[in-house]
Amino acid sequence: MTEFLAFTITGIVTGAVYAIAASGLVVTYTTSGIFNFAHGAIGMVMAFLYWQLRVHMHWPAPLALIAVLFVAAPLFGALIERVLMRNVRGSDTGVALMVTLGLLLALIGVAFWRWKQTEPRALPEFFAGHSVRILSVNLSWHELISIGVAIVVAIFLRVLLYRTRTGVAMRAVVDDRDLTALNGGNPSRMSALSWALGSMLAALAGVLLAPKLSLNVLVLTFLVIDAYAAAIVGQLKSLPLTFVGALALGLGEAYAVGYLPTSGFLSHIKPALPMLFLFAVLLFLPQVRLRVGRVVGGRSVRVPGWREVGITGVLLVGATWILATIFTGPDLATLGQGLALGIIMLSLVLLAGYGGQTSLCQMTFVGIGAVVAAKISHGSSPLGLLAAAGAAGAVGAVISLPALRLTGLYLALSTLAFAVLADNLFFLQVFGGGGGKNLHRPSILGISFNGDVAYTVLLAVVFMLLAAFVLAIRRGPFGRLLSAMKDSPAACATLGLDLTRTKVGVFALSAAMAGIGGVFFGQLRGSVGSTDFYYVQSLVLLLMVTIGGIMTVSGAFLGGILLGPGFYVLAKIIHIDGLTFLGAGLGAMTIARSPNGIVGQVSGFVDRFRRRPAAPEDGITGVEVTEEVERVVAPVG
Amino acid sequence: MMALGGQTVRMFKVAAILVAMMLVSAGCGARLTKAQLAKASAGGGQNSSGSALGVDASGAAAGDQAAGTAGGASAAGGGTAGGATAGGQNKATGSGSAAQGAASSCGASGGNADVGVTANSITLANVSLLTGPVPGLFKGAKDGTQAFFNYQNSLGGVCGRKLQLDPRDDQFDANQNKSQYQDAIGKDFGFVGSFSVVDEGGASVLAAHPDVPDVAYALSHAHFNLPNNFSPQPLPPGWRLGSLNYFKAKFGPDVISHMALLVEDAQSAKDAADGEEKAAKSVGYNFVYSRVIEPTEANFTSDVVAMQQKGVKGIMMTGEVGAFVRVAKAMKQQNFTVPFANWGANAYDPAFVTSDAAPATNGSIIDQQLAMFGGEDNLPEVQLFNKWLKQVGGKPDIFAAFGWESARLFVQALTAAGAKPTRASVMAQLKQIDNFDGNGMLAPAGPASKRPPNCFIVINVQNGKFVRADPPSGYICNQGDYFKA
Repeated sequence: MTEFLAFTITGIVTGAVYAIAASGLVVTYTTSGIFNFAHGAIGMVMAFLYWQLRVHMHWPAPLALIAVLFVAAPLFGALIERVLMRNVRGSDTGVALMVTLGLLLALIGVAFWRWKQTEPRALPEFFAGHSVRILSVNLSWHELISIGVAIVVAIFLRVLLYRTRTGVAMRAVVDDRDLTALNGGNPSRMSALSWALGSMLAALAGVLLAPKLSLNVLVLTFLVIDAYAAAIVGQLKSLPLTFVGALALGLGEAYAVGYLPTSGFLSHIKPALPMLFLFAVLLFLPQVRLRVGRVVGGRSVRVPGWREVGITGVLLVGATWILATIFTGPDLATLGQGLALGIIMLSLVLLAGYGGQTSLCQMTFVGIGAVVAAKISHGSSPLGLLAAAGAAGAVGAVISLPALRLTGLYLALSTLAFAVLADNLFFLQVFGGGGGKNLHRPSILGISFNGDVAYTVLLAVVFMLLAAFVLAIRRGPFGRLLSAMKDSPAACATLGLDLTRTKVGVFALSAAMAGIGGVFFGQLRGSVGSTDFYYVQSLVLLLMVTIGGIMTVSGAFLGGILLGPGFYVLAKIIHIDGLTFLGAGLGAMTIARSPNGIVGQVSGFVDRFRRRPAAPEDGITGVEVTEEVERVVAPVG
Repeated sequence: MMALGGQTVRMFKVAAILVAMMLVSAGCGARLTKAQLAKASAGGGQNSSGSALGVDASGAAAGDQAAGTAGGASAAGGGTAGGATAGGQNKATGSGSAAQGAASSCGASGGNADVGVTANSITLANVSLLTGPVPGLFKGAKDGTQAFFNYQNSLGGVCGRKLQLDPRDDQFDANQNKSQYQDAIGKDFGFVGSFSVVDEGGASVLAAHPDVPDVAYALSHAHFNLPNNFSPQPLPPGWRLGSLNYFKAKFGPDVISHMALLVEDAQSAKDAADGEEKAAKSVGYNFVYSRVIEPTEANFTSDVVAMQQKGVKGIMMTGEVGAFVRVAKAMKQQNFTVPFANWGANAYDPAFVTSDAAPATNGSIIDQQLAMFGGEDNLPEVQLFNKWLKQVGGKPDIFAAFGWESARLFVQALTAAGAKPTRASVMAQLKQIDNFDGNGMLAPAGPASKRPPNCFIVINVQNGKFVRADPPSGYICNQGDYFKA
């Protein structure tokens, strides 16, 4: 019993930390309608800033706290709103997600550049060395402060959002900006205030967490992902339920430490617990109602004709061949890397670009494909390629089942949860014992592609073939169905179209393509390991294809080239730590102004040059209204 | 995350950072023969590396140690295959010139003997992970190698040729690693001091070019097993029994039968822990509590409570230093002290003794197969290492230490290869160096036969400082063999 009580108290402390982090997410979402993936990164930067003032510059703790929590954090939040989020207003979930993800990467880049990670840094706990004994457990004052802060934050937010005009106005802005303005409110100021508040809470979580963890950029940034589960319990709007979720999560982790076996499959449950929790909660969320009576759909980019595709394909393969014979060593490898990534990104064009289904687990499918192919003659046989596509496609179909009920952000989070679970429960097992899985390059019709030049040209050919396949789908009935589903699921349902089959089909097809991409990705590298498919890579993949232009196969090509050779060249030109994070992050922020990415911008420019209106190919130009807005309308409480 | 596109894509998994660190800390004992042990222990069992080890090192070390005492000198002087005692002869110069030692075996300098060799220089590649999850974490591998090259060049180079480093970054990408090796093989003479968690990429290239010498600490099995890879301190899977026996004798059966093992969730850490646990069990240790912990875990109170309930009296841990500190602080907070708190070699890090960590980590025990290279040990080699490392802007971490000693090992073989070194002749010399201790900075090991070290030192943390506990100098070498996992 003593042990149980000790675990319970420990769980409450952990739950309080989750509660602070999750409440910041909820407040930002409730008052801005945007799920801030960069919440943890903001907290991380503020924790480093606090260290800078408190430890490095020897400021008194109260002064440093005031400077960080009440000056730097709110100003930074307001700045984010002004510079970034104002441009996201009215965009779909994917755009907002990409912009906050870009912000996350940029902040990591800044932190790497400003605070070298090779130098040891420690942030002391508040009132270090003092503790109180409660039921056989010593709780430090820092932990008690964390619990107290969690409670105060909960009460403060409840009062602010429900008992003050400001709070009501903040929520009103999310419901209807125009109506708020008509009633004398200042939507812009309210939005800025919302982001300032969210940033303050992120900073608070960072300052409280940093002494308990190392001052490590990545650890502090991604710890908040575990808090997503708690925020989703409250469906991103209910603070009390969020706190319940945080507490349940904290207790679950403590009991897992205490009572789960330390070996065998169950020993892997503890690290996967937050994502299992998130996945389970998402499964039990009420089904999203289809939105009707609104204009939806984004501006499309022209689909090229077959003649253009053929000419472009020949040019691409020819150019690749020329470059491959010029380049050697690392330069050639980077070119191949870009093409392999482009192949994988094509799967996202189909799923997210055409079908509007956000996937944050694409690298998981890539990994499944690579692993399956490696099992069958080390990936060099056509059978291995087919098996990779089949296995990844089958898993994709299964994963699509939640997609039948979820859309937008919730769908994205469910795929994220799947990716994390796959990391913990699948890849670590598959690659257990160290080392990777070897994949050999193939010989086709007696031609060996073992050489780097030949294999790079093969990648270009494969890219073009798959791009043509994607374009063929886009032009066919299934492509029109995807486009219609993306524009208006409600209209599709009204017309009797089978959305279930369409969603399952596009997920399976996209996953199969990613699996094929995994085979080529692995063959290029020679071997693959568990870290190659780490879930964050899926985020970066989606980010880069969106920067390139997720509505087009050209965007996939560009995304791959940016991610491979682009960063490679950048790193050769500028030598600062975190440069590539910074570059990717800043690039992603441009999505706020150009959701169709670079290709979309170029296409628009060409159209203007030709004095041809850049009309949408199908669907209606306008603003997509996401179902999340409906959720936000619901009162917080 | 940064596996995807090179520089950016692969970094995020913090656990991945740990891969290298774990393998380093997995450093284990050795399988020295009894004769070798006797030699290594000459002069009283726990010998000083400076004396008996030096002499034992096939003639090389005598020169090494003498030169070291003189302020420097070095690998070339320690050349097992050639030059033998030449280094020692440089003692009088005070600078301990390896180059002079080398010159004695050089004769007239030749011209372009092989790839990367000119009349005035020899270019060597270093392929390391420089822009990985934590930018600069493994920069020490390059810095340590460069520092030794600078030092050697200050002495005139090798046979009149300056050593030039061609540093390359694999960006945490196995394919880039492979490409860098592939590219460098056509331009550079060989590889020195490389350090990467994705070195299996380059291993495939080295396997196809068995004539190219590669002196580096190998992390992957594929790299380690190559006949042309020579590590200054080979560490195959397994664990040293020597330190386990030592602590068993010191703390008694009651403590070692109530052990806890915490392992950070990185595959290499788990592999290392697996070897350690099996080795420990083979000599009577019993683990009553064990758990795999996440890199992002902040609260270890539950673990401490569980350990208290299960009567834990000793703790072992594999992971990175930040996690060690967090566990130690949780133990301190619960007033839970154990007589035997043994952290891995990764704990020999300034982060373990910061003013914030020290109250919890004081009293900790660390065992490792390197001298206290941070500067606490008053070894000439350690002083030399720190002096030259500082000049290239490096910090004395374990990666720099391996870079430095890899360069020393290579130069020893290069010097012995004579005035017209070829890859084949240097390889031949490397195959003869089977007792290397880096002038005492490393526990002696066998690079040629891939024989791991079985000597170690014990370090205590006292008042926020690392203090050598045992032996006063040199290494403890006669406590046990090596457990093969």
